[in-house]
Amino acid sequence: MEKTVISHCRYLRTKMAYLADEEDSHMWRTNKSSTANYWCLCTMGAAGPDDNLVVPERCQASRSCYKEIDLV
Amino acid sequence: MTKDVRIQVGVADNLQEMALKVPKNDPRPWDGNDQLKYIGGRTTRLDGVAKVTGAAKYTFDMRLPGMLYGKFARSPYPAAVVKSIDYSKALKAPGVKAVLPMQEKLPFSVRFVGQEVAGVAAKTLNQAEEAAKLIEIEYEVKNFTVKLDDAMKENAPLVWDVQVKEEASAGDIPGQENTLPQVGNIRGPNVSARNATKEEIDSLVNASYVTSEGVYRTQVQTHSAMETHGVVAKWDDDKHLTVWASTQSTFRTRKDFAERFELPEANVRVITEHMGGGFGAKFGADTFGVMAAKLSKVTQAPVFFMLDRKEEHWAGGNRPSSLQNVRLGANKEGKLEAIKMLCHGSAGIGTGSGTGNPFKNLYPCEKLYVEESDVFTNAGMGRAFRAPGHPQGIFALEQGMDDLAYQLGLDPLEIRRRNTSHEVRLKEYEIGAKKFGWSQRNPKVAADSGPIKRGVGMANSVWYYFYGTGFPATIQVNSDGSVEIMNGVQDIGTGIRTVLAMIVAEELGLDISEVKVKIGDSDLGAGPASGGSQTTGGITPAVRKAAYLAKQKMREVAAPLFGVSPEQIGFENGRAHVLGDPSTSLGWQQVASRIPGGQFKVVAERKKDYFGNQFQIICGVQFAEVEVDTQTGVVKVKRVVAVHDCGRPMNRLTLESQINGGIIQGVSYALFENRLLDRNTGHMVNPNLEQYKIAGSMDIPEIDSTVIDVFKGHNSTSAMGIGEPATVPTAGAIANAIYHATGARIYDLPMTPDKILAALA
Repeated sequence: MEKTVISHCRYLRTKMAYLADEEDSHMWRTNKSSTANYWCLCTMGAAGPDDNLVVPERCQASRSCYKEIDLV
Repeated sequence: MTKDVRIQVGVADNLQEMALKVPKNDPRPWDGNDQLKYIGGRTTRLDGVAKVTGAAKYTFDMRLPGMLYGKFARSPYPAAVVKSIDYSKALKAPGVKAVLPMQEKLPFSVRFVGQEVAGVAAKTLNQAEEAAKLIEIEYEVKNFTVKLDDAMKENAPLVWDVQVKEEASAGDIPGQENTLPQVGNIRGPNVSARNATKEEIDSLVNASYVTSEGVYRTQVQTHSAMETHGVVAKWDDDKHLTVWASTQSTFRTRKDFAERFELPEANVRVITEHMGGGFGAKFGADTFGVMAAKLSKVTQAPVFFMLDRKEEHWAGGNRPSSLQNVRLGANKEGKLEAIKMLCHGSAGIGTGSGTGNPFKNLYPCEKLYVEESDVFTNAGMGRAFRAPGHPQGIFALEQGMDDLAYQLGLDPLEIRRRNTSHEVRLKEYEIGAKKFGWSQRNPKVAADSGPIKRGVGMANSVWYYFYGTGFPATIQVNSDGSVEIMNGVQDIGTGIRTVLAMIVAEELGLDISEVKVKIGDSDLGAGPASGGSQTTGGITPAVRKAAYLAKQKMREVAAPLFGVSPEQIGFENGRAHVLGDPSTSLGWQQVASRIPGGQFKVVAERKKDYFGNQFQIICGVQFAEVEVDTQTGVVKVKRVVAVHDCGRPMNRLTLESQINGGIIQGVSYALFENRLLDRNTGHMVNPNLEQYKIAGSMDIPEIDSTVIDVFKGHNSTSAMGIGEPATVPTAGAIANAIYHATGARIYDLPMTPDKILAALA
């Protein structure tokens, strides 16, 4: 089975993470939204463990606190 | 394997036949011709008595043996760095069992007053509160900004002052177009355009026969659910965690706890037996949930961790503020030709303040340009709040439409008719206008001569159909005839428990009292989250199919008793009979007593709809009548007539109840609610329900709510949501009524007496 790799951190969260279909569960990470607020599952706040803002375009591999998510 | 069915679809009095292929083991979708006993009727809540007598147990009511109480030490500063934390005094305080930091590593930043710094567990709530005050925290205090306009200035203190090196590039991020610039405290703009660029849109508006321009402001509204946020966390052993949570998603909250504490999902159980509202602010494990679980683990005791009202205002989420620059252009007939909207809003330290969706989705205007930018401020983070961005956007857009109508000498209802061809919306206009008596309105503005002036106004709602898939509904039929329906879905307070019983009773021909509903427990299987108005549309097709499968099993049990084949068996009024021959029948219990093995269980899963997508529009319209005292500036909303749709109505009683609630919340947003932050300290000056004004019983207008039937046939129940659409148009309708009463347009929410008097001056 083909492995899908999402570039966003696995700890990124927003409301849509709780509403999304299992099969489309990564879509909320890439969909353009002007009403989504984001938080980190590690800190439970708007800042990640590295004290920087949690938003999809920043929660990427370049951050020290990044954790990869693999979707199969 | 599929079967062909023909069903009647459309708006109630204009049905059309549709041919449809559905899976062979699915029930025939309920359509416009079905005469149903429960569905579409008015069933009182199954848990109504338990709720009003106090027998219903909410998370807030949980009391476990040996339970400790949790409390946060919170930042008194709107911007600071936590340099060190000394727990020694707190640990020696009476009753204290544990103190833990919120973040693993020091130093860390706090960015709003009330941000969580450390958590305490003690034997009593008072002991925990007192101990939290004894935690000695060394702060490096920084400059801050709490007002939207201040934060937008070039030299404003930066809320997020450390920039991340963004190494990703356009080829390695799916959805790279999402990357937004950030300059100072402004992140954005997020641009949406239709057939127009930023350079072109102004000239397109200018070229229109008539234009409307306005700068609209909306305030921060806190969720203020009756039950505050919170959990009770209990480790059953080192590897098993049970959490009673006031959450809008038992199943995904379970997933959060499992991932956060590195447990298999099967080892975490989340229970939400009853819930006192959420309005979008209660998703996931949250700060208090993680802290409660940590404290519970170190103390080996259950920990109760509920926020108080002040904490709720500070850190429990809010509807972001907005500053919307709106330009609309229409032709001589009132048809919209161009829309421009530039929005800046603040969700505090977070994102999500956009208000553009109503502009993009309500009217089919060909030329549109929308920019949405977040402005960071040192304030509690915004969260999804009942139709995110929509009450704000509608407040602006629908006043602009009203303005165009008056400039053209058109009836405000007529201009809206000319800008839609949506059959459902046009039907709602017809019903609403008739009920309201719209045709009797005085077309003249500020027509009353005395100091008390009456006016009427209207506004549209716009929302969307969402649903998830994969939710399993389980039905168990026992040998005594008892029927249980099971799914993990939580009842946020809107009555899904009752709806599930109605569907099962309908399908099995039973009395509703004979169906036992077990919900609100992640061990019962994944249920939809109560967000996006998707609970009913998400779970009811699975429940109906499970009931249908249970009926097939009961037919197999009954058939030999009648000496006929299973498909000849029908169930009605608690009895089984041969179809076409009701004279000979057996009681449901008699048939159930013959179930091999004494019981059976069937499971059905929520599948994708038969057709259509998830972005179908849900309409809705509200008409408001107000009385404005031009001497005091006080606005009294006298009457609201609401007409909404949500596919096929399941329980009309609780649907109307949700609409009533949406209107009351809308009145409160329009006239009263306002989170006020002190510019000099960053503190909220009204963190309670005394100075943070919420509409009380005397402020609630006469409400006439109607739900129209729209049979779509997209799944077996045709149900959609109503939670969000019901609150979208209220503030806009009231603002338009105030204009009609006084001739003064109010651009700033809440529409308090000072603003009314200033506009009249």
